[in-house]
Amino acid sequence: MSLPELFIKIPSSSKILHKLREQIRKFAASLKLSNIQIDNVELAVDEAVSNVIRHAYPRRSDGLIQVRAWQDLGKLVVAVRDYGKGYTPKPVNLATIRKVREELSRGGMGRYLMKQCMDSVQYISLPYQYNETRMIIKISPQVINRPKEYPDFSPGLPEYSALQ
Amino acid sequence: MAEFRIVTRPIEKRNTILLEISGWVDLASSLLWEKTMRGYTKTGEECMVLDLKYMEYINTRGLGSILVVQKYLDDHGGSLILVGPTERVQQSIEITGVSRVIPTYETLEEALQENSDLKQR
Repeated sequence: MSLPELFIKIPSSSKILHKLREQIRKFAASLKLSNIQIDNVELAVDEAVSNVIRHAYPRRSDGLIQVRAWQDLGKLVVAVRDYGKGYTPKPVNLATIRKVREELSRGGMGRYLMKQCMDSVQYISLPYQYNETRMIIKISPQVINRPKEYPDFSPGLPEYSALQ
Repeated sequence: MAEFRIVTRPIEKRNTILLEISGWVDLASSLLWEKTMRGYTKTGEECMVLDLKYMEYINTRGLGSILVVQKYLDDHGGSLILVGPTERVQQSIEITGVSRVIPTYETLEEALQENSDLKQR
């Protein structure tokens, strides 16, 4: 029996985001995530793809974005990959109300929100190859065989390059 | 086509505008959202109540625009409050820290009771 998996290719157009959110919600629901977890996954994926549209493909609506989601050992893994410009995520400071205002006003909260919504968020940028945000959230603790084509994520380059 | 809709509702408070918002705000609609919200600050009302019970989704940019409007009203002696967000929207409000900046109430009645000083002139 094949494991549930979602693989979507979309252009870097914000007009398609609501359809992507619907697909992600349906997939997360099919894995029996709680409603709050489904909301969290939706938020995180929306912010990740929005970041790609804004930063990796600025002023372009034809850039390729791949969203892959799969179940792995009681976790839902979502990888958002693009082939555009990489960027360096900036740390978010919410220490004061003024800082909250500043961060939200400059549009720099997406990454922070992803980290709050998911158990793990990692970003890797391989120049002239691809950029990927990989997000993980724990679901019910059932033991599932991992598909061979999706190795464990590690920020280390050698394992990650196996994804190509 | 705008993904969100804003309807002005009557409210028994002077200098206050009540906006009922439905639909969603994401990257596609965030610029129009900000422009529209800024437009409502030009109506002359000092206080704004955003009724979010029909709002399905809002991303961080959409929340940023609400903060911009709140800052404007605050600087001009007014205020902004949020009412009745769904769980989904409430989650975004809390995670991003917006709930620390803008008061949020479950119902309009509760909001009006707690904010009886909402510019009653």
